Amino acid sequence: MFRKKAVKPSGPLTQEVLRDWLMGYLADHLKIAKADIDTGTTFESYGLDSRVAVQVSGALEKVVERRLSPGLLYEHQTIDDLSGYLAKELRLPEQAV
Amino acid sequence: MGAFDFPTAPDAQFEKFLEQSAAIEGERLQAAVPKDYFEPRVWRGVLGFAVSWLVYAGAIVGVAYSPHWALYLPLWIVAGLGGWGLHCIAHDAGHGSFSRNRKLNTAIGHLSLLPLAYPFHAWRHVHNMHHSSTNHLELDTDWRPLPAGMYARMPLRQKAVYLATRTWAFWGGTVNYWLESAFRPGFYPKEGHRRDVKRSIAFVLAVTLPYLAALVYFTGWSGILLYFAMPWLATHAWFSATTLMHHSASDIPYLTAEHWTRNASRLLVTTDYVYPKWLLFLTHNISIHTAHHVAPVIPFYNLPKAQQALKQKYPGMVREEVFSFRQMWQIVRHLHFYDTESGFYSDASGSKVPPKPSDPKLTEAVR
Repeated sequence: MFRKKAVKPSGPLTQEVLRDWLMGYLADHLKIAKADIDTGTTFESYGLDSRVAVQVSGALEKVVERRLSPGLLYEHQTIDDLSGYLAKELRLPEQAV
Repeated sequence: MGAFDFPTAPDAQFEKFLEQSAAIEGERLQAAVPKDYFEPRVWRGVLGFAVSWLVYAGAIVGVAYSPHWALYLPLWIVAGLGGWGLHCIAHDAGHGSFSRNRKLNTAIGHLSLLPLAYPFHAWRHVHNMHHSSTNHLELDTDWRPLPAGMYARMPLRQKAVYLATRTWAFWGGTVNYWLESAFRPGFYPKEGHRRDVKRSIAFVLAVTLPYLAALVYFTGWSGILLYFAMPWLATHAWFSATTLMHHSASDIPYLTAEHWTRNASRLLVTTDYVYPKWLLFLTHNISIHTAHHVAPVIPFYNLPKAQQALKQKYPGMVREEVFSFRQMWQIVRHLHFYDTESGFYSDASGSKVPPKPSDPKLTEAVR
């Protein structure tokens, strides 16, 4: 299932790195190629339920090294939206300089 | 950061809270407390540590020599008071207010949390999360109420735990907190914290397992129940009741990211309790809690003076109640869910709980 340990991205955290990490996480869960993930499609459309949302949020906390609201994935429902929101909150650059 | 948009229909009481919150915005609250009060006196902390260990161990020896089983329950409650007092010493150690020596604080913290079998760094890091998000509807780690709609979507086991620990089993609320945070390094977002937690877990196991084995060897299997498990549970009962009462009041809202501010979370959302003097001594002033949230570095024996200084600087803002079992009953009877309309509470039947402010005259009359 979706319980395997998520690998933390190496190097400085940017919006692009977060986006890529979320794509990899979702691709692993859905057992599809990362290239097939559409970052504008809602998590719900991919069939993610509340249990998986909690797991994603838990894994994401370790990537950004801070606690996140349990409601985050409901409020920001696509990878683009979520990575954009987190980048803004954490003041991350869009890409590594 | 947040994702909720509550309350949907804030009333005058909520607006009044926001006005108070706005009034202290930008203030340096700590400045109200004279700097001398931040200085630890290590001997006083060590005295508290020794007293609480004596209470804990004395009550357990009392159970061993008790002439009748009817005395077990009161003795366990006393052992729990000792264990809770030790937690309060660990609390100072965790905030760096036991001493200025980090190694001493770490050692005292680890030793003090043994009756709870709580790895010190696990407790310390989760407690710091509570301090950095006190009464935050999404991020507080302590007694954060859930909106009834969110509760309805939870799995059955989680529902049962939530409702029980807010009602009849409130005394076990921190057992759940312990299960979630004590032996699960994965609970902690920061890698450094996970490393700390693993070291503390190793310490607790290295001491507790041989201790339990010795208890079984010398006193039989029942010894684990009589001399460890029941005092452990009683300590949790003190832990749960105290923290629930500090952070649950019908007129104090939990706040979404939109309304939560650091200053309000420190000064306006905690209830202090007036205890009898002997209880204040044995619980190391833990019930004088707002001053602690304003400046966690104040050692426990300076909290009464710090509370007075805060009251003078911010009249009417430090919320205080006289401790009573009635008050505890009101909390577990009514304060079950976060009311998404008012921002305060609703009960298990779905009815809004009318906010009831504390009465400063009553508190003063008891002093």
